[in-house]
Amino acid sequence: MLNILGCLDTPSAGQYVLDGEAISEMKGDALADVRNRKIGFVFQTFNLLSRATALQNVELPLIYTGLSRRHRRERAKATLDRVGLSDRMTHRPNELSGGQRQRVAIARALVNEPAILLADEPTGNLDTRTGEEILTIFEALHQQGQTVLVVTHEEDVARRTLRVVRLRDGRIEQDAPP
Amino acid sequence: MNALDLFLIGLSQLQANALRSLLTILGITIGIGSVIGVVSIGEGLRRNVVSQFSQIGGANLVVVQPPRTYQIKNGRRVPRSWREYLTARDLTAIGAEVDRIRAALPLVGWNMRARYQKASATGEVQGTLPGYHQAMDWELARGRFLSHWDVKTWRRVCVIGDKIAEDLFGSLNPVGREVKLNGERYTVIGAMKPRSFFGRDWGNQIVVPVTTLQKRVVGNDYYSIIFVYVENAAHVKSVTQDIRKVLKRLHKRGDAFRVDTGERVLENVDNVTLIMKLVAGGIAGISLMVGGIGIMNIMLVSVTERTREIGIRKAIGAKRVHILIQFIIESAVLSLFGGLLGILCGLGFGLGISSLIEYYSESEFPSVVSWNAVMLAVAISGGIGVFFGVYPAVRASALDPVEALRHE
Repeated sequence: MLNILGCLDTPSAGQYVLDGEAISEMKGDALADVRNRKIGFVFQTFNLLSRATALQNVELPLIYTGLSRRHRRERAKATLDRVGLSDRMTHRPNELSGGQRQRVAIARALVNEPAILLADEPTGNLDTRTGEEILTIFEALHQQGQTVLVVTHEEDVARRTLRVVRLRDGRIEQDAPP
Repeated sequence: MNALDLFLIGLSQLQANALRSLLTILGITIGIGSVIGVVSIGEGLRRNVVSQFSQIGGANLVVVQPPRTYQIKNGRRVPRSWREYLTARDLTAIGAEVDRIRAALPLVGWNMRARYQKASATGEVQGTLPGYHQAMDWELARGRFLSHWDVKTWRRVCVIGDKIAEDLFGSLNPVGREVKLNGERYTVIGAMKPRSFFGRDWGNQIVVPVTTLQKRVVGNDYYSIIFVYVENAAHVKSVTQDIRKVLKRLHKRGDAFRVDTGERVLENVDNVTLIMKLVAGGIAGISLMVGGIGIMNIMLVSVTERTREIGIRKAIGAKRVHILIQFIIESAVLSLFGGLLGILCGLGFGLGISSLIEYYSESEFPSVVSWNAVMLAVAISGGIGVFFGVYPAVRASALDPVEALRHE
């Protein structure tokens, strides 16, 4: 499900239209392009490049967008600032705490101003307090008008959203406000 | 995404695995190093020969020698049934009929015992004409060189090399003293400065008028060699042809005379260096091949190790071509480093060998940096990196992002 929404995979049946584009018709590189422009991923295990600094990690999507070095740096810095990490830009992931890593990942997801932010169990690898921090960031982003989609097993997390879609064995069980 | 970004990404990967990278590029380093080293030595050899050759007239020189007295049959030397000789007739004819020559000098060589009082030395007696020392770029230390009058009247005079002067006269001034050559008295009219050619010392030479040597010692009027100096190196070819014509007209077997040019000697050197280069090329080819396969192997390992990274890159929007280029550049950078290291090793090797040669041969033997070879080495090592990097890179770029992200 998340793979399809995230344009990593295409559905074998049915249609997927994202922001007016028929994703289900697309293949490889076209999908990559959509992922680059419209999707921001936040993973449970952060998935940062361990050898790159926070700033370089956040810059990464912009490299594939084809932005110049100077613009990349500016935007990445601004985005890291949004998640409150402007003082950690030159740190590598292993020098950051779990919460900080996830915030770097969020910054990376946001840097290209995606249509949709996809978070796959974003608090799964974090303690409750840090998880809370992350959710607060998501809420703040949402209030700024960012569409956020969170996949979770935790009712607590689900309750803080505006709309909950329950899936069981690949079928929609319920689609309603919490 | 520009080239610099890609290069930096590649570089950071190699840094991360410094030891592994170093071991991987060893094959490339050895391959490139051997070629650079050999090319540098070969070029040095060439320069060495050219510089020595230019001292005796170099490209302007044509050397005429009589036919060999033997021929090679089934790998064995068999004496010829006939003989042909160079004589004053040839010298005169060449001087008169061949245009665009500056000088033609005969040489007759003969070894004799030279004595002065109780001292004695073996002298390489050379019979020649005035002008020989200038043509050979051999400077007088004292006195004068041969004169035409000396030649005309077969005078018993000689000009001696520095070794002879030292052996016979020590610190005395030899000019005006008499030496005995084969028991006959010769007056020393000049002494030469030290000179060597292709590692051969000229200090043991005793130069006498060619006529004196022929009439008083050898007993025939043959020349061993005629040196012909051409006005301009561009005319060497036509002069050579003209000389052959003269020889053919004057001799029954004029074809058999040896007419060599500086160019011919250089050709021989070139052939030697070519063989050296081919051997080095063979070694290089094999070691580059092995090196390339090593690189391919390590890149495949790297792709597997970094499957997750590839997944992440794809998830955030890297296209196939981005991943492809990233890995190809990485492998090219790897190979290029091997090449650069090889260039350094090769130059060091060349420098070492040529200074050894210089030390033992006591002649100038430069280690020449051939920029062509260096550029070629850079291109080849880069090319190998690209060639052997393609397959691993294709594998990387073809990874399915979903699978790759799941990879541990």
